Amino acid sequence: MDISLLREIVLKFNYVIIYYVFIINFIYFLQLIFATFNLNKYIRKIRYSDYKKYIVSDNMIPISILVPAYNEEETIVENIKSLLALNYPKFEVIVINDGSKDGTLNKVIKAFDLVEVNQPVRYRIKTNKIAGIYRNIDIPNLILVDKENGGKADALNAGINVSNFPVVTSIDADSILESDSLVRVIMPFIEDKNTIAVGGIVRIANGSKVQRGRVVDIDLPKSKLAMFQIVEYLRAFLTGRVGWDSINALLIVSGAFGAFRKDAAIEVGGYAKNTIGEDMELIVKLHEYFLRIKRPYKIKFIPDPVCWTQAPERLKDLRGQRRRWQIGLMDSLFKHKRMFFNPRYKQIGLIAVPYFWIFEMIGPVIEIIGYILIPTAFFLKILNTKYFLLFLSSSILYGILLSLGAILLEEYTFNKYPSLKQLIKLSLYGVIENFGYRQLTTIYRIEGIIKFRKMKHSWGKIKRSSFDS
Amino acid sequence: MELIVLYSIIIFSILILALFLYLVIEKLYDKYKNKKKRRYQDSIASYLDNIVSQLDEKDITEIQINILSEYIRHKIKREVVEERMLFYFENFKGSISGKLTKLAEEIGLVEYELEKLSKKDFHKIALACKHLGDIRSKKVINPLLELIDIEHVEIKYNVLMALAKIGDNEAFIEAFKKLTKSIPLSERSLVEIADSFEGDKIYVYRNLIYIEDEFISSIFIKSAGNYKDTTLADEIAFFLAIENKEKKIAAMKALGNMGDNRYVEPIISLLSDETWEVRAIAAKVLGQLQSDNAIIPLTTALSDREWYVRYNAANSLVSIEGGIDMVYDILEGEDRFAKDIIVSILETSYGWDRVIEYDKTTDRNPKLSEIVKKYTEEKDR
Repeated sequence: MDISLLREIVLKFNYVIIYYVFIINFIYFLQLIFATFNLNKYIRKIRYSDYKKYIVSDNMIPISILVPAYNEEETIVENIKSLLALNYPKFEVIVINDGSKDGTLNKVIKAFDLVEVNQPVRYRIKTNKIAGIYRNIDIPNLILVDKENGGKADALNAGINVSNFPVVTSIDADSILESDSLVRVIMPFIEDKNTIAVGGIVRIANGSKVQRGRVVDIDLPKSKLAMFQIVEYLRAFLTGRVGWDSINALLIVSGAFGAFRKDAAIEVGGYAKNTIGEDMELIVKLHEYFLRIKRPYKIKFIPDPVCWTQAPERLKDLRGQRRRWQIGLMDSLFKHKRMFFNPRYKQIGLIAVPYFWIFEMIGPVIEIIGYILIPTAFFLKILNTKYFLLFLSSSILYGILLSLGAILLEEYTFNKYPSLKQLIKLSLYGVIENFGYRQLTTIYRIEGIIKFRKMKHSWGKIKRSSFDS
Repeated sequence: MELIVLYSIIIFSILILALFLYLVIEKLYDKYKNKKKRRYQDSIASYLDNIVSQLDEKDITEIQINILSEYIRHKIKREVVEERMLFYFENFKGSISGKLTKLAEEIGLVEYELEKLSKKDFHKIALACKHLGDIRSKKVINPLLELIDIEHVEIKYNVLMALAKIGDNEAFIEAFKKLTKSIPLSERSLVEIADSFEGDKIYVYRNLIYIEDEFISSIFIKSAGNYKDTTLADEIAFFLAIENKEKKIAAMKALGNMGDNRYVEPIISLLSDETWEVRAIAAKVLGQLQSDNAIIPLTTALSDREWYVRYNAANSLVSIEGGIDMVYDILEGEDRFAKDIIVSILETSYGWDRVIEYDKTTDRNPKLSEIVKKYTEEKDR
């Protein structure tokens, strides 16, 4: 092949990458703008919301909180205690032990003095066998379900089968809810009868002081890795989710905290088994089903900081987490490929699904090729300085601007990190995360793509420590 | 392309900078406003407190009204007055509430909120509706009714809630008659609004439970049940015999809440209704009504083909005085579903308390707790 032709191909390919990186960042920016308006709307709405009135009302919708647990002996007991102390008129906590190999089951039984009961279960969604249901007559709103291992989705489905109330909310066993989080997450169901699912914002608790299952003093962590993730979460939730919510095209409700109308979840067959991205899968399934049968519905996102989780502080755990997220995303997109650019599915088929295919699924590959190919082409003098700088500004400068934008949104709205020191620290990490951390998570996501076929059915785990400090 | 990237980065940097500046300016303004507010707070609040504490004994003077009206014309002072007034409305009930409303009208607070209703910003409208509802002035009824057709869920909710607090019977009825099933508000929020009505509830229920729209009618039947005034029981019981499933269910729930057991027989007959939802609610309500007559029908309902009917029947049976006696017969019977469901209820905190209580108060042998334990052990084997 002629060397000049090869140069031409490499050059064209470089241009494609540059345009791609520019477009994706441009979309992020649009999200930031939409999110700003949406958040402003939400903040203003709180002023006339009647949610406090409903805290003491008989007309509040009772909720079943589902807590799937697999080898969670470190945190499960304190997590249940904090859930039982939530401020809500009527709710039940259903802990589903998904065949844990550690002491999860015994720890819960012992801590809450539970005994096995013969509660019949209505299998409205097919699940693996339930080995036993445990209760304590003095804690009537706690139910422990012990079942054969079947994965997180199977555990959640078992919880739905056992639940008694019309709205179910799933929460990870390692998360902490704010005391009035249930009231906030249920309000969209009260306000609009077409609401079928609500997602809440997830914040990182590393660095904050946690006492008896409550975040009592919010602060930033010492761990650099956790700091990067705080900035990343702010960007993902305050711009990403809020932005998608503003055009009614939310595709992900975090598994760490989401609420669903039980009848809607059952109608679509509950959580999909054999996937590790069951949270996204359920939402995409709900969109597809309700749009197909042309029934009005709403999937909402509330930006209040309602749920706290532990971010991995070890690279190994972060790597596992990002791999899982990528695999979950791909699995769901493959399962619903018929929605891709399909006008029948309105903004979901025409905007959200194509975006996730083109930018979230393939994105890491393009990005990493860019990081390798473009500097190489520049040093080999195939690409001129102008385009090289263009690439750097598109990927790095844009990234910095987006992170700073998300931090400003946080300061403007919920202001959980109010001191100047915290603002400076966050901003600093918003800048430096673009030089190494972002690229590292991209590599982890690529790993997820590579291991997709092998790992798409596994329950991923992160080593977590007890919350209480 | 490079120009687009360059320009976009410049534009977005400017946007971020503008956002940042806005944030700083807003925080500075808030600081300034709060400082000023704090300055006014003590004097205005104590002045208002003084007036309000004497409202029951003497009329407010022209001078006082003028001073307060002057405050309303001043942005920051108005905020202080309004916050204080809304605090009174939230905490002071009874005869003083009417005097507070009159005060709010005379000093121009109602007028100020009314002006906001014609704004284009729906957040401002919704907030104004909420405040007007808290103030409870009848002067705002017509402007509120005009807003009911706006297809905006927050405005609709706040208009209805404001009308509920104002408590004008005819206006409230008119507002609900204008609504249709397509209203996006959930049933629970509408029941909450109906429950919050501060006028003549009986009059409103009588007017709205009979309307054709099954959704609105059911809401007021349920709310009537929450109100627990048995003078409405006969009228609500009328819906037990009609075709419409929603109204039938609402009527049963209402009668159950009222605890009026004159209608046990028609509810028992609904245990054999063709719709399972009706049967399930009948089984549940019979537990609330606590009638001996329901014991045998509820025992039969334990064999219903629908799980929820069996579950509710078992719960009700255990709760009714004498119902627990039937457990011996049920466990000796052939129906496995009936046995499972009743045992599951007896194993709950409430159910097991009933078993222990039963064993303590009767000499029957073997003990019920032993029978239940024996059944569960055999089942586990």
